[in-house]
Amino acid sequence: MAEKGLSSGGEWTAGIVAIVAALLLGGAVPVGLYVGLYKPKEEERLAAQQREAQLQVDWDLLIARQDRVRGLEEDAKDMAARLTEIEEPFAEADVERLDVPEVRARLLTLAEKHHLELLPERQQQLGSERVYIGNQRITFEHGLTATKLIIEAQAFYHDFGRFVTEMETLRDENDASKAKFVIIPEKLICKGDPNGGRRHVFVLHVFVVEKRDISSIGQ
Amino acid sequence: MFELNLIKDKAKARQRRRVIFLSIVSILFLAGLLSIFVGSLFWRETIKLKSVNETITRKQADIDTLRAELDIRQPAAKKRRNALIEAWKEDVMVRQDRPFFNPILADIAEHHPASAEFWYNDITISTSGSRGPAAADDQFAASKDLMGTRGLEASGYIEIEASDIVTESELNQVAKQMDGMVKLVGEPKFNLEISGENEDNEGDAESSRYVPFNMRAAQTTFRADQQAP
Repeated sequence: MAEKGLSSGGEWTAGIVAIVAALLLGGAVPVGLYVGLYKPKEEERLAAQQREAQLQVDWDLLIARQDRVRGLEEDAKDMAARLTEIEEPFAEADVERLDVPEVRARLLTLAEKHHLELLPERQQQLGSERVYIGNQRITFEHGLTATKLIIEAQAFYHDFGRFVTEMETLRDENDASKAKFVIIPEKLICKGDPNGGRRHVFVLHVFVVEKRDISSIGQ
Repeated sequence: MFELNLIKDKAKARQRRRVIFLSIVSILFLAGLLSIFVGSLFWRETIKLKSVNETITRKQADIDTLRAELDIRQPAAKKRRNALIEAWKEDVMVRQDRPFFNPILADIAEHHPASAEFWYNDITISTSGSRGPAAADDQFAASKDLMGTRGLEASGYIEIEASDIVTESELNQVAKQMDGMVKLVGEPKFNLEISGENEDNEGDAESSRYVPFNMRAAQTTFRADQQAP
């Protein structure tokens, strides 16, 4: 009987040991999976989500920057329109010839109107004109350019005065409310008639302000 | 009796083994279930991570593209806008502040002393060079001179009927009346050259005298290269 009792107790012990072993082993597998696989993956996923959130912030900042750039571009368009408007009276230049033919023609008409005559020594020269090219083109600090014209004539003082006044405030021939051409006098030399007459010699150097190539400004 | 006990013992032992076996199987079954659950969690995380990584890759590519585009566009837009603003300011300055000669010519024609007449031999208005000699490498010197101040030099004869003192006083008054000239080239200074007086009148104190004079504004003596050709 005692042998049997010992045998059943040993079986129970072995059984409990086996159960505990199974419990330990069986519990170790999910815990191992949880700690070894799931947790690092979860951390990786959280880090990735944090990175995604950071990227979203970067994206939002970029969108705001894009809006600012669009604003700058709109400002530039607006300024270009204003520049086009303010430069409307400026002249179109023939850069290669250092000439502003339209203005020269207009000044010739004006010289005719105010009785400005060729100098006596020039009257026999072929192709002499009262308004001619000065062969100089200057550039202002921010890209504006102007071409020189020279007016050389013999005239009464009052005629020449009227000519200068009209030249400095030239108006559009088709619309008198609009200014046309901006002409800046640089130098004037008046020589009185040596014979005591009233017709004097006038040499006037002027610069005609030219239109810019607005599309190329700041490019 | 003995056989009966033996049978009972065998049954008890079988039941014990069954209990132990079932316990172990249950434990392993539950462990398996738990493992499958953890595995499914892991799988779900893997799928989520993949999706997030794909989003990150796509977003990063979008950000890189947009940033590269803006890195080019922004400085260009800023440069163009600023250049246009500078150009516009320059245009306004040129249109508003450009010098005019007609007020000077009008002043010369209109004003003279009450007791005297003027005859001008020559008049020169030119850039006054008030900025000093231009630096050799200043490519905008000509335009700065053009928009700068003007100077004026004139010479001629004045017919004096009153005394020199009266005429000089009147000339100072005339200088102040020349508003256009004052604005553009400064107040003119007249200088009578009494020693150059026309000698024909020397014996007759009653008749008018013709005295050379010169007039300067902006205290300018024009450089030789600014003189008439």
